[in-house]
Amino acid sequence: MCTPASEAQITVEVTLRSILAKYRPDPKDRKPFPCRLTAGSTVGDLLATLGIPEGVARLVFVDHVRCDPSAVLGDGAKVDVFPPIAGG
Amino acid sequence: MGTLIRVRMGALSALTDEVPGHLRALGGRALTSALVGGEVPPSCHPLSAENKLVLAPGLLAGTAAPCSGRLSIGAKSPLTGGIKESNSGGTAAQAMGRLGLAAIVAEGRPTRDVPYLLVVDRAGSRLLEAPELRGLGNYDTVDLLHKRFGDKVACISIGMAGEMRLAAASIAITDVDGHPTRHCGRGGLGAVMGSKGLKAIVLDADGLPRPSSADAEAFAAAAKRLAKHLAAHPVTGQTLPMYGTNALANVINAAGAYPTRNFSAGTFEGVEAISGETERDTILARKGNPRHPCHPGCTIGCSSTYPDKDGNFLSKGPEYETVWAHGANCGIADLDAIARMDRADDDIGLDTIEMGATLAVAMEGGLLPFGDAEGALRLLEEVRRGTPLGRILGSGAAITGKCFGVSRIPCVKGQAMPAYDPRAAKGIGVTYATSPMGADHTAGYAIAQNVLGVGGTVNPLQPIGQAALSAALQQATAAIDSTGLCLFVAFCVLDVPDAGQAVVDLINAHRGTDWSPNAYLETLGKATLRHEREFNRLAGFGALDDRLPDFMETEPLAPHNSVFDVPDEDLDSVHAGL
Repeated sequence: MCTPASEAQITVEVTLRSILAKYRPDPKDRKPFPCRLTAGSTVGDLLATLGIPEGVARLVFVDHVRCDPSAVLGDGAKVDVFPPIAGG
Repeated sequence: MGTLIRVRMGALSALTDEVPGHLRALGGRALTSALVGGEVPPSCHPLSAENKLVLAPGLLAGTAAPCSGRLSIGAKSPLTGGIKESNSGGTAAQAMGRLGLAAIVAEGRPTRDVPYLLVVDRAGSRLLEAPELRGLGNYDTVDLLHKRFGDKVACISIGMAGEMRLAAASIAITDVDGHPTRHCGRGGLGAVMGSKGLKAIVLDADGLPRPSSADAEAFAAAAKRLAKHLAAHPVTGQTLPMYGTNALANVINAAGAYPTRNFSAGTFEGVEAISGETERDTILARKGNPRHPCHPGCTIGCSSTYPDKDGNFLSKGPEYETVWAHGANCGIADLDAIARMDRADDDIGLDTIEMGATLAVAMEGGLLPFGDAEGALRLLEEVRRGTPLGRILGSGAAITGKCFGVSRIPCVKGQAMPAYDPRAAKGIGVTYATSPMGADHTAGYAIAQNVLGVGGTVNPLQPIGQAALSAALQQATAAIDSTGLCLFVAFCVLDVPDAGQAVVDLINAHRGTDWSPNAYLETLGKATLRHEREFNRLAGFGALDDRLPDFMETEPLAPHNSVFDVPDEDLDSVHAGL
């Protein structure tokens, strides 16, 4: 759990990829982990809660849709967070 | 600048010639497409004597410019029936640059059924009979060539698929370790080489200096600027070197655009097992090399070496497209099996994208179940042996689909789509539809803006803006493909304006031109696309060929439940500004 419980809360499922491993609860565990947030929290709030500096998490997908930091998270959302990545 | 070797297979001669005056400013794709467009009858059969195989390094070949070792190969494609340029890393382009070669043109057809070998060194070029190479895979071929000519030569070769003139056949180029792991994969160019009776080309540039630049000081300064930008950019300086191209697997899956089980879904439940992170962990645990340049002078190093479970070299680390094609697209979540298929493709001389797509179509057609890795490997061995089934599979996804009664065939102009579903990334769908090359992600990589947030953002699920995006990218890509620079340089160029200026400065300093960025884009980008479009028009292609297969418009793709809905008028507008 990322934050202590208070007020109305939501829980989102977070996956941190590649070089963002160090921000996971257990850096070696790639599996998604739950994170509790205040209802109305945004993607930016989530990243701040996880201690990920601005610009390090370039790509955030919420339920398969790429979102910017102002996007509001819903309860049960699946959030995939990536550093800048390209290739192909 | 540079000379041209004409290899006349009918006369069995290899003669040095000057590059025609109007083509001297060109290199790479601009030169292959201009030569093919100017010298090959568009209506000819791709395997006939009238077709020509053109090999051209980029304008910066042999220099110290970072990431400038791509080799373009062009011809009329046996897979698409249109013009083709396919480029690859490896050691050949830099060797050709040091040998002062702007191009090698193989034309005609020999009268005798003997494999031939072209050798080019400082003394000139010669064509030799090489019966000992007949029927060999690329690994055995280059082993013999290295024993005969030394470890330092660059080798270009075809495997059994090319000798059988199969439409999915690739042309292999040796990497910096001498393995035939770099391939001009797309469009069946290996079959054209096979039709010329040309089994291999050996390039010996050992001890030769780099080509001199018109303004060496300005060149060195521009090279330093570009190298600095590449190192500082988070993609070319950090994630590509660390995780390779397969870092994309989780990203594209997260975007719901990861084609799964023959393009029937947009996410794969087994993605974690075949992701770039798992690939890196596996390579490190087995003491492989996680960062390997695909050509000398590459500063990104997104490739790797992949050992087997005993720690012995198995293949290069399979690239994103290869992992997807044989993995998610076939329902296979086993990296070791994928690496074995990569090795088989490289050895037989097959395009990994086309073969993965073909295996998935074969699975859909009931030849074997999705997820059957050992069965897929057995099918590749059918191709190696040249059985009737193997020859069908080696002819690509479209032919295989027809033979097995499959209606979901993910091809454009006969060429299989790569690892991005156009229903969830519509900009890349526009590129697939309208590129003169057939379905080709590298021709206009709209994934950068649709998914990755590089060079701006265009909503991947909406049709708006996709045509203009693809048009601009296709023009810029044709230009980059003519410089010899790796396309991944573009990730940096798209974000850092001075990196783009450094590319133009490099060319001007090396070649003595005074191109503005617009002149560079016009001469190498737009003009190249015009040549290619005109060739295809004369070969019989029209607007209806610039479309995706019907199922893209009728079968919604989970998880977005979207279809490809970019209007036909938008597709027809893509090349209107050329």
